[in-house]
Amino acid sequence: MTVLLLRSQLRFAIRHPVGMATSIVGVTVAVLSVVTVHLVGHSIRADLDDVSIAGHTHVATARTSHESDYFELRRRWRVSSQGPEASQPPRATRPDWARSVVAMFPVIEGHVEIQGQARRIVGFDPVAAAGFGGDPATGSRPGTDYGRFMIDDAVMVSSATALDIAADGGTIAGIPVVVLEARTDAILADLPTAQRLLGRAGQIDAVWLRVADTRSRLLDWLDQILPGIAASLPRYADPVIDGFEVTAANRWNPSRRFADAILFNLGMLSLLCLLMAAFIAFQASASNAARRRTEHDRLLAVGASRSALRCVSGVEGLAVGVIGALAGLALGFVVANELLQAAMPEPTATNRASDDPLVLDGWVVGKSLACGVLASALGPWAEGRFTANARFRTGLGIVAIGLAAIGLVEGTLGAAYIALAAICAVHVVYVVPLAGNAAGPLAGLGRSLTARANLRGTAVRSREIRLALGALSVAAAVAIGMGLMVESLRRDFTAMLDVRLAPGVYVQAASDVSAPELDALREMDGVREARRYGDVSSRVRQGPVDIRIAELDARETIRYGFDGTIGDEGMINEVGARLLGIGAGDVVDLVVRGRSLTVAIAHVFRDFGAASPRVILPTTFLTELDPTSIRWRRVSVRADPVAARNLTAKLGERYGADRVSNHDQIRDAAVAVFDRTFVVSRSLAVMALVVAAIGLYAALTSLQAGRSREFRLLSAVGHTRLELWHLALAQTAVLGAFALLAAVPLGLAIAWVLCDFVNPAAFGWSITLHVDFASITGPLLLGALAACAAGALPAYRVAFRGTP
Amino acid sequence: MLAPASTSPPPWCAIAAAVLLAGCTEPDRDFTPSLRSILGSADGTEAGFARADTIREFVFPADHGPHPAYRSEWWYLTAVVSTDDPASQRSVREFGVQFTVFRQGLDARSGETPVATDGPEAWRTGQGYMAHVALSDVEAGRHLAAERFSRGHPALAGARADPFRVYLDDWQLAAIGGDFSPLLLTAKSAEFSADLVLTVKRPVVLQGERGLSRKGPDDASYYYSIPRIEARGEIVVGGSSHAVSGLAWMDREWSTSVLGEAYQGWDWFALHLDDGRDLMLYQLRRLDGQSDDYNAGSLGDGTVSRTLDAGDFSLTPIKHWRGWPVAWKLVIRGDPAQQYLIRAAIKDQVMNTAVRYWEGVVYVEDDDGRRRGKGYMELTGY
Repeated sequence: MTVLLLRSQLRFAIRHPVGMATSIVGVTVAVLSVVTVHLVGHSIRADLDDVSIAGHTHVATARTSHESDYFELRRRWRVSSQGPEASQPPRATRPDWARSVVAMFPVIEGHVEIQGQARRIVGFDPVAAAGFGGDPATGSRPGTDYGRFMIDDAVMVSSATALDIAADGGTIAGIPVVVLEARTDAILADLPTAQRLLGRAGQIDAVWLRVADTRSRLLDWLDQILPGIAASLPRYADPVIDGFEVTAANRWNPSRRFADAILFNLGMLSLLCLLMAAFIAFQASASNAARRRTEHDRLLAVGASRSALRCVSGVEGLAVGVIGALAGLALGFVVANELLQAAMPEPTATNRASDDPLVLDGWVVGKSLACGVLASALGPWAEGRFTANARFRTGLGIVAIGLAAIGLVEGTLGAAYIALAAICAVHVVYVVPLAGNAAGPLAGLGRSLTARANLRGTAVRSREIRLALGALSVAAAVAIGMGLMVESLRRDFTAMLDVRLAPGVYVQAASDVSAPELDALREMDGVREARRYGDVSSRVRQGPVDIRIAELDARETIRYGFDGTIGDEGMINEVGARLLGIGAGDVVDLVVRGRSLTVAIAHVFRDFGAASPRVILPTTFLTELDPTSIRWRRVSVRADPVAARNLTAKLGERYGADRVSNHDQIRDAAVAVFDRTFVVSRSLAVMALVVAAIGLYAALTSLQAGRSREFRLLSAVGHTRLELWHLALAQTAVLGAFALLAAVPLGLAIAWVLCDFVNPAAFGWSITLHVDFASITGPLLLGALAACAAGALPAYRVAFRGTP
Repeated sequence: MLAPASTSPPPWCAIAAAVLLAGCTEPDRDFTPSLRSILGSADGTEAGFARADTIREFVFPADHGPHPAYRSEWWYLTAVVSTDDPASQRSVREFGVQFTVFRQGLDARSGETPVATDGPEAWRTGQGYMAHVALSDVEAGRHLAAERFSRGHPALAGARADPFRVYLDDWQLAAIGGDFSPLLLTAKSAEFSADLVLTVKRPVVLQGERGLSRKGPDDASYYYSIPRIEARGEIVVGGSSHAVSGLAWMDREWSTSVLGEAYQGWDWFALHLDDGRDLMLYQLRRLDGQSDDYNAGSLGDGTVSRTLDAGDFSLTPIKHWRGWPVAWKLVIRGDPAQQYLIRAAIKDQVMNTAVRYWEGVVYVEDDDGRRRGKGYMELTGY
């Protein structure tokens, strides 16, 4: 019997290849999007990750900066965990925090100068960080003596930094060093080596902790399944250590938060694709079941059981899932490579994302197969089982509206995402059906009776394919929402660049620019103004903060959106303000070379693209800073555009061409980088539309199947096949148009949530929402094309062959 | 005494890379370092270190302390203790305690300069330490183990001869007074703790040829034992405290190249026989499966010690548990008893540490199944 059923199934698949092909293509595109998001996500993360040593999760800082802090903390960590027995003498009890800490090690951070540029150096104790473990497969290169790391003044650096150190005569800060190559943007050194290079013997900045608990492991898994989903969730139960301030390491890694937020958006798109793929399989299964009803009845009559029939369908679903998954995996790998090539800047020695080949690891292969099989099995499983009645829809709607309201009031990243999902659910459940019903009243506009009947039928049929229409609508809305957000950010970003980068020239000198040298620059032809900026490395308890010293007169502060002169206060960028939880009127306590510096904040300025906190101080603070801690390397020269070009050449001769940039060039480069950054999200939005179109095709195929009798009747009363095709196509066009029109308010809502909630929470950036016409019409046009393409073939088949 | 487990690259050479990779890829990914590297095979990193290749005079207490001129060194204490509450008339509860501190020199130059007590140079001892502590709870049939790593630093880990102390964080074996004995062992892990006062009862036994223990044609170590030490103190496990007493054994060994490439591991025994004699044996397991001429041991009663050569004894595994030989037949030629059965008190006494090996309490029985002694067995390279 099983053989008979399988043969029957195979015969049907051969006779009706389109249905199965649709399912396979749907699963393929969905898996493609999942694979692309996974691979792109890993690559982006690898590029944006901060220095993470031994997977440290927390940073503990004490009141002092002495090594003894570390020894004290380690002693407390090592205390026995044995609880005192009542009859036993008191025994030291291990504190609660110590149980979850699996490693701790001292760290000193700072900047050293290489080739005239400040480079971050991180010194730590490698044995405390990772024991004697290691990974010879990827870590140790044959012939490399890593043992020297702890013996000599050795540093681990990227190959580019190694070249720079070599150019400096193999020294850092005048001290000869041994260079060991590693893939890191920062310079890594053994603790005493870093202390020596930074001139801070006996000091540390923090003790880095690795905390491992069940929650963090679970979130790691979740993050692999849906990249970025765990970004806004509290990852660890932060240890509370008496006398130490403990901060989660990822809190001080805005780049990572940025990547996570983008990935979550992309992940949601891939999830959308996946759901639509399941829907396609659902539709295919439903339409196959309708076609095979007679055949199945016969098979049941000859002794086949319903479970056997279901089992054979399951085998078919499995085959579709596996084939689609494998195809999606291969295509996803190619697409991810192409997207990264398009999105990333030219490969550099420190740009890991662009020079590391993508790898199909176990996670992505397993995820692809699971997604493919799940999507192809979910639809057939749901077919005949799941009916969303009015009560269910009402309940879902109420819950979704409640979640959306709570999410928007809460304002955190996770809550904002929940709000977005809830708004989309309300859209699919309520708005799209309403839009479809609107076709009914339009029936009177039809020129003929047939046309009017066709339009009236559209309203009825919109309910039958509301899931497909909802998917198309949501896909278009997401594309509109993301497009509006990106365009708004682009506008704000370019506006910021316009203010900051007035025509002129920027110089990053190899050595300090003295005051007389600055005066000489001011005397050059075409120079309207020349300013120099000082850079100082500092930190707050949680991590490093860049300080910039500048003459904060009205002309300078306007560049940062502040009207007036700043005398004894400072400005902080949005990223820093958010990380420190401060605003204008608050104070921030900085530590510069072990000395405390308290700064009142007068203004919080936009700093799109900035990954780390930055404080700008007026020159009045010079009296409170060690002059040797300031590097006066940056110079900004204002000049009219023509003079700026000449000055670029002249200053290039003086400081080196690679150290001088025209402000216009910087602006163009920044905008180009911006545009590349969002290539991935745009591509995935298009991909979601494509999957939605395939879903719509499957739904319309099923829908038109129900119209074959109606079309035969119309044909009998004299309608030509072309007219019938037009009728079917018109119905599709109207349904698509209503779904896409419904997408506009949802797209606007998504854009609003992204600009006003997600971005501030994820990146600390505030974006003003600009409603851009092209960002709305583009996805609508694309959606309309997709809908027409999806509807054309079923309409043609039902009109010309009598069966879709 | 430890033996190689595999031929992985030396762990010290991968420390920094490991740290980087642990962060850049998967935080918890580790690899198992090889015992061979800890024991110091000829892998190129031994350059500059002194070699144990000639007979030397042992000087105490100096030789209880570290020998940084040699690459590898360990302080190795095992004890079989039991609860001693005669008033309760209850059957005794037996525990095995193992405490080991390994020292690994990173650079031959580090031995040339005295250790700074603070400042950057205090971090530059050029030494790494690994410590293992384990408890065998025979009655409960469980074996608990913990390990720690640290670089040498006065505040973190180190060793000194006079007054004697070897430590890693708060795990330590240290002289209580001005003399080497009595000693205090303090080792606490998350699951158990051992605080034992150790009093040396018998003099040092120089193993091999006056302390030069040959492990192959080109490899050797300096090796001495303190075979009989009275142990008394407290074991805390499972929330219960137990006053215990018994006998301990301490081994000291240092070298730059202990094992050659021809060996895959070794089986080692340190046994206290009930007739008052102390027996140490080891057999090297060759990769080609042949018996090795460098198998050796010692048998003494505190006054006279007999060195055992490869031809003086034979060890034959008679029972395995998950690949580990947990019962052996021992034949000592010329010994009145001739033949013994050595049986693990608990089968699972595997040290699931970065270096994996079997180490635990064994009982010595005669042909009639009567107990004739107890001690420790170590199995490596399986």
